[in-house]
Amino acid sequence: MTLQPFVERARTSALVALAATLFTFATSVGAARLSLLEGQAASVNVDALGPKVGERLPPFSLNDQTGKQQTFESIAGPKGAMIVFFRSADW
Amino acid sequence: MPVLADFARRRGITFPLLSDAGSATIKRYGLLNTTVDHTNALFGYPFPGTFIVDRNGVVTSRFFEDAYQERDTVSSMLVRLGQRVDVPATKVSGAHLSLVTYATDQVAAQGTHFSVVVDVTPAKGTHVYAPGAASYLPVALKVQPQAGVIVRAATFPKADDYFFKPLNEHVPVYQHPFRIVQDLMLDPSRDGTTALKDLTSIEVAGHFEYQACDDKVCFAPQSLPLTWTIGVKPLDRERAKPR
Repeated sequence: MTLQPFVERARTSALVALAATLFTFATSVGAARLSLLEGQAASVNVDALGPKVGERLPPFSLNDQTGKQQTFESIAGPKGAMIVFFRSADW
Repeated sequence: MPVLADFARRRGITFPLLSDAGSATIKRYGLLNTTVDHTNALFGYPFPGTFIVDRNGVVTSRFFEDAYQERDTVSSMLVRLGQRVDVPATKVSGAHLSLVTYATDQVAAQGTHFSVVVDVTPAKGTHVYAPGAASYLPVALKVQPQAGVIVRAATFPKADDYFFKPLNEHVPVYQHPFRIVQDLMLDPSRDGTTALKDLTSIEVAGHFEYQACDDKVCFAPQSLPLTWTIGVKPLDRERAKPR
């Protein structure tokens, strides 16, 4: 579900997703959600995290779904790239 | 990687899906989701979000959320960047202005951040008041609360400074076409699940309020009713079946 909007609208430019290490859940979807919501009692200012507007993206080198190693240079299109951080491609 | 390959195959994805083993890149970027305890099975996830990066690798805009269930749609990001999106829109004429309004997405799931957009064109020679204007009714987009829909922040553009000589006053106004973006979300909580159960679409109702003036006269405050219909889709709970 999380990636669906990006999948449907991937026509814009090079679009990259960095997946977290994938986990298998023993918990149900509902239980997993509840536990995170509980953990969110301490709110975090996400705008203060990671590279800011005007800053250069730190370099990365990661394998894609085909096993090919990718860097910013290899994935960027003529206008740059949209880089999406998402939780997992598997529930 | 087999999970990503399976996901890409099921979804017809051709852009790179990158696997960040051990969350090393996520940590290096400072995006490890610290709301999750390290003993939790969810530990290792990033805060969900998107960087838009130019050809030189410089971040030009970014959109982040603190809850992993929540996600901006591409269209809702584009409208906040002032871009046009190709969606059905409704034209509404009011006294001394016209507007075009639309929802950025025709379908949403629980946790989807989408937006309703109001592109307003004041009539020639008139202005409307921007938020912060004292003694006048500033423009406002009021969304009717309803179960299943979370009303999030609204974005108003920077106002023009209007000097009204007879009263020797400066007021913030809009006198050129301007855009209001109101962010909404289908409630990802259990209450949202209950409220949206069995629905295939929802209608969001609201009002656009304003007061228009020209250089001599201020007209009566107006309220235009607006509605947006958004399809509701279930969460994708399909698991990966790596080959």
